[in-house]
Amino acid sequence: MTSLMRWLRRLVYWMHSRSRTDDLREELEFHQARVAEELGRRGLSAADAHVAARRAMGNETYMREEARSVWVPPPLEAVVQDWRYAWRGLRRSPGLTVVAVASLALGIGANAAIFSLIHSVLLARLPIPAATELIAAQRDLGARGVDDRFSLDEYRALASGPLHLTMVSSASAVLETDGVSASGWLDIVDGSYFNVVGVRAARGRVLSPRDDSTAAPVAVITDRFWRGYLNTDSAALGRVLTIDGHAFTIVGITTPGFAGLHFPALDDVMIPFRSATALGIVRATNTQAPILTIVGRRGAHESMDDARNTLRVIWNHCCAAGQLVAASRGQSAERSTLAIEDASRGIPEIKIDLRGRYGRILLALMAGVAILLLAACANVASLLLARGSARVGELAVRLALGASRRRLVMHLAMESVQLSMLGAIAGVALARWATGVLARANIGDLGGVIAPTLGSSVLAFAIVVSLVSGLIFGVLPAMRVLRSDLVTPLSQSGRRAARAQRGLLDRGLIALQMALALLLVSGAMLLVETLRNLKDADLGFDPTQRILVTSETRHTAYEHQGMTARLANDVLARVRAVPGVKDAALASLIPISGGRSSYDNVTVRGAATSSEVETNFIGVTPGFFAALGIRFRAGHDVPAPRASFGVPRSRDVVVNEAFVKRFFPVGNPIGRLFEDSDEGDSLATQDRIVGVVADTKYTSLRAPAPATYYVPIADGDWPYLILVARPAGRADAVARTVARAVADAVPGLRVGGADLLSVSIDDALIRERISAALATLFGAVALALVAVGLYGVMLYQVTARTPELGIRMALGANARSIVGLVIRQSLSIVGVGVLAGFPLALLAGRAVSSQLYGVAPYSPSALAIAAGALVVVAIVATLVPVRRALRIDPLVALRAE
Amino acid sequence: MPRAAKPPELLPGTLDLLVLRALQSGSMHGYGIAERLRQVSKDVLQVGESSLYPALQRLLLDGYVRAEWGVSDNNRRARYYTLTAAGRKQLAAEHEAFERMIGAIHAVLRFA
Repeated sequence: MTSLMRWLRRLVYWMHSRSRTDDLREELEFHQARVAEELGRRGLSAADAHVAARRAMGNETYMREEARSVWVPPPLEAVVQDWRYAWRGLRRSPGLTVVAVASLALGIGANAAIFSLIHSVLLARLPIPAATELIAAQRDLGARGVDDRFSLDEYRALASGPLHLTMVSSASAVLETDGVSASGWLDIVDGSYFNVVGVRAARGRVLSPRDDSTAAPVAVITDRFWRGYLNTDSAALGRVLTIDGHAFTIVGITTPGFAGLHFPALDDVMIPFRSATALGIVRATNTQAPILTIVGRRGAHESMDDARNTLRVIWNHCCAAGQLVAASRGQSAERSTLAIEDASRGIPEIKIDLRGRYGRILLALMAGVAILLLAACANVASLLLARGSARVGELAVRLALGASRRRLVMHLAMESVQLSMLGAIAGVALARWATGVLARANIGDLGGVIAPTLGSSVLAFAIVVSLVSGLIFGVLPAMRVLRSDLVTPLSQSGRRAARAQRGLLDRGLIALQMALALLLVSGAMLLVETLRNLKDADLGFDPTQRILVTSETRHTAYEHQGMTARLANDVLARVRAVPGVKDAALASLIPISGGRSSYDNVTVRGAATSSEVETNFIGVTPGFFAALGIRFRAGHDVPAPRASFGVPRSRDVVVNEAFVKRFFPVGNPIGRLFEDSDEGDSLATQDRIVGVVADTKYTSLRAPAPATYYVPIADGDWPYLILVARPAGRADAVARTVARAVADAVPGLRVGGADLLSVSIDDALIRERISAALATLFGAVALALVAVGLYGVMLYQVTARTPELGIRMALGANARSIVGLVIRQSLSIVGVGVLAGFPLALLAGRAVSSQLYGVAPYSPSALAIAAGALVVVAIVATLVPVRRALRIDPLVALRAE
Repeated sequence: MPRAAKPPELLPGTLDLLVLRALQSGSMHGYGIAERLRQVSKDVLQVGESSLYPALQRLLLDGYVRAEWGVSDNNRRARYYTLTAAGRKQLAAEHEAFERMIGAIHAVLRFA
């Protein structure tokens, strides 16, 4: 009750705040007058009494504040007041505010944008309830790494335990609705899948254990597929979707965001395992074939270790009992260990290893933007300092009038907080725009995972970053206030001394920015140089104007070796008949751009290196080398495809120069023999070298061309066969006709669209292009920040030195020497910054050395160019201050003194 | 204002009590209260303005005193404080508590 009354009285007081303050002032004046009267009675003169009374009363402002503070809780009062003051202060100097906010916005925006990339690639959890509970099983193969494929037997054994498990078998498939076909990702799941994963249907229903028993051809599609392929058709439920030629009925659409359990999550359709096996979409010849991924959910209170132990006990028990006899590439189940991994961030897609490809470079870019933000903070700090020094007088007056230091620091802190908040708002807007641009840009495999909108975690990150940066750049001006005394700033000479001291701190901050800019610019140079080197790298073949058409033989009638020759001959006959096609050939792999890489063990009888060496090989038809522009060094092409079955006993092959160097360093390699064998195969093939070709890169642009041999295409079975065609004219003119010809030649083959080889080479460099472009952008922004900062500081220095420059001019200094004076000072800052930046740049070079190609982490030319850029920027930024210096009128300057 | 030895510090919390007590005999302005306390205590209690006025504000906030502008004996506008009913009750309560405390302190000083 009483406390309520107190609050009511406070409220009334607050509303009449001004008149109450006046009351108090008048009351205190009255008090003082009475004290003076009393003193007068004791014999002091009126003037002396007045002074003595004032002295006796002490700091009246302080007293008033104290009395006020009874009514209004001082922190709250102070915060509101300081907030208003600070806001007024910022509005009074719009130029400074705009530059400071823009600097911060660039820093915070870049951080938020890169963080949102990092979040999408490295941190984001699957959009399912309680994602942290999701686990995935892996087979630990020791030195051979891990394998996440299990057999149906193994799944059944593990699922018999207490944990909620489910299985998914993923494959690419040709999806067709209303005659329009597209290639998509298929998840073949059992009935418990949606229950374990915890995803519901936005429309219709999800799959349930009932679908396991009926084996009905029903499909659940993801929201992604519904939007992308069905144009959000409201009548999608009940429509027929043809999957690899089999008709399925769509019964449900999952909630938005969910697209399977893999990372990247790109799945389109889920169908029941039972119906998939019944229709032959899954060709499980037996229950021991490793075709499934096992995922599950541990209990909310169960640790990873608990789940791991539970499943391992079952696994070991079943292995010991001999129930599991599945072998995975020569490894028996008994010998492999079960590993249980956290799957909350999705099961990594081995073929699209985004995390492996982009993890390091994203972290490097994050470090880059953090440095950029630091430079922006230094910039804002130096701007605030420059203004603070103009306000040293004001602050000293306020201190003298009774403001507490805490209040002043608080006031400055408010300014920093407001600046960083404005910076954060502008930065988030900038980041939204940037991620939008990124999501729309052609950034290859990364494009599918970037969230085009900023999630709450990114926003939280931006807020934390802005607060931290506000703290960083706010601290220096505040420290200045804490250290300052009352007297010095109020006297003329004191002000000058303070200016000189301040100049040192300011120049230090600019030098720091210079050092950071040098680091960023030289780092960007290294990445740009890397990109250029990779672009110019000798591939060993000519990618210009080459058409590629990829066909997949897996799960088709052409999967078997015996069919390859017929397929090759049919396809090539058709394609060569297309007008405008000069050369055409088929291969199991096109260097850099696609196909499955293959390797066997090569042995040379009687050679010094008698051990088996894993060596890459490619299946090709004659004309492959001509079609790709690979030069023959000696001998002739592989023979034309002839139907063959099983592992051939002997064959004619072509090898590259690296192969010759590796296995036949001396003598003519033509006609020499070697043996190759697959691991586990007892029968080796006798190979005779009939030709030698130039080296080409294999799967990586960075790695040197490996030893490679080319075998006749009909001697193997390949999951993918890629047609390469060289047209007489422009490739895009005939590309579609060529793709159609391939599809027409072999009905039932899964044929993709036509690609240009040059495009896929470009795609292989996407990571390098993104990082080079972003790093260049960061370097440019850092230079811009340096320019603004240096401009501000030099302008201030010129103003502060006006009397000195005036005297010099009066004593006969000419324009040249004045210009020299200012430029020298500016360049001395650059010098310090560059010197400090060198070791930083070297450290940065070392940090990104794994990303570099053809350029040393310590590149003198990169450093020199970066330092040169800084000098140029410094001179440009000093032009206006120099002009200001030249315009000084000696008379005016001297009078001011 | 001649000051002899440093005046003893007030026991914490007693200023409010003394102010309330001073007002018991009738309304007074701030300066009057300070003077009254000084006179009655024979110059021992010299209440500084920097503690008197916050104390008065506290009492206003608690509703123990009321303030009105009036005219002082030398014809100046002055702010007069008057005890309220709640103030009287509070004075009685604090007075009693204070006596108990002093008694206790005395007892300890004598016998402990």
